[in-house]
Amino acid sequence: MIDIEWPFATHMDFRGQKMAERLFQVIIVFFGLIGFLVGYMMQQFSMTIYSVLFGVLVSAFLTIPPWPIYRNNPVEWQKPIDSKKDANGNKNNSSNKSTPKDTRKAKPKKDQ
Amino acid sequence: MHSFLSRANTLFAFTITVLAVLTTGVFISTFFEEYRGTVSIGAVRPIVKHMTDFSANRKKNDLGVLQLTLDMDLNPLFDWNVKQLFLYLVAEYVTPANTLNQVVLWDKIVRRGEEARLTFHEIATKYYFWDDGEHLRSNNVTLSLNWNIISNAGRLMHVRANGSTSFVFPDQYITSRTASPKPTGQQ
Repeated sequence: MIDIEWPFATHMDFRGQKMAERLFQVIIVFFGLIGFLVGYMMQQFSMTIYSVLFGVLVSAFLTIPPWPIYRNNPVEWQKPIDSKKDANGNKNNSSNKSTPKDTRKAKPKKDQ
Repeated sequence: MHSFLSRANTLFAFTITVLAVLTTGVFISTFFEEYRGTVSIGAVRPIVKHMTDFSANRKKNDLGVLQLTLDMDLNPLFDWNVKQLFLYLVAEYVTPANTLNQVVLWDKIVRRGEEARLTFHEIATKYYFWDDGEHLRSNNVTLSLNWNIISNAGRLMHVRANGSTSFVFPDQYITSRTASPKPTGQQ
């Protein structure tokens, strides 16, 4: 159930994840406060709950599906080193998950 | 936040936290509420019988029989933290055998949204008024209505309403030849 191959891209990059999390936190807290005030005015706690659930619905729609706006800052992977250099260089490079600001160059190869 | 499930999970956990905080807010907003009220109670035609209580030991005890007239408006009690009220009518009196006797004669559950302005005219008591002994004749009995507040989030409070009445039982038993209404027992 966990690893399903969807026919479309389902990832968000890190900036997108941060944006999504902040977005649903703000939405749910906002609807929670509105619901608290409305519930207090009407003296009906069910209004508060409905308001929060509505906020959850809106947040779920906005943050659970992987919309393209969450993919605007893709991770910049380093280019693979030429295979003519020794195999050490390749292995080192492909395991580097660099952030977009990362400017680390390839490690110097060992002396033969 | 890297897959559907982890996003849904984070969203759900945050929602539960927000709901818990809001519920605490509701609790705090009604913490100092006292839930007092006034009712009018009337005891109609009290009589005393001397009979065997077959559900207890076989000796004869005093049985009080009376009708109740009640009038109350409970709408002010239902704020947003009250789910339902449990009303109960208590008869209190003193006997040589016990310093304080309390007998529940009638109760009712009133849920939020149901009719809260209740009037009952000369209804029979819901439960039997057995005395633990034979001391009901000429006894001064106080009837008072209490309610138990069942809240969404908060304490369970027992509150006695203003407006209790007293009456005195007659000083003679009613013999079985006299016609008199009997309690209905548990509904």
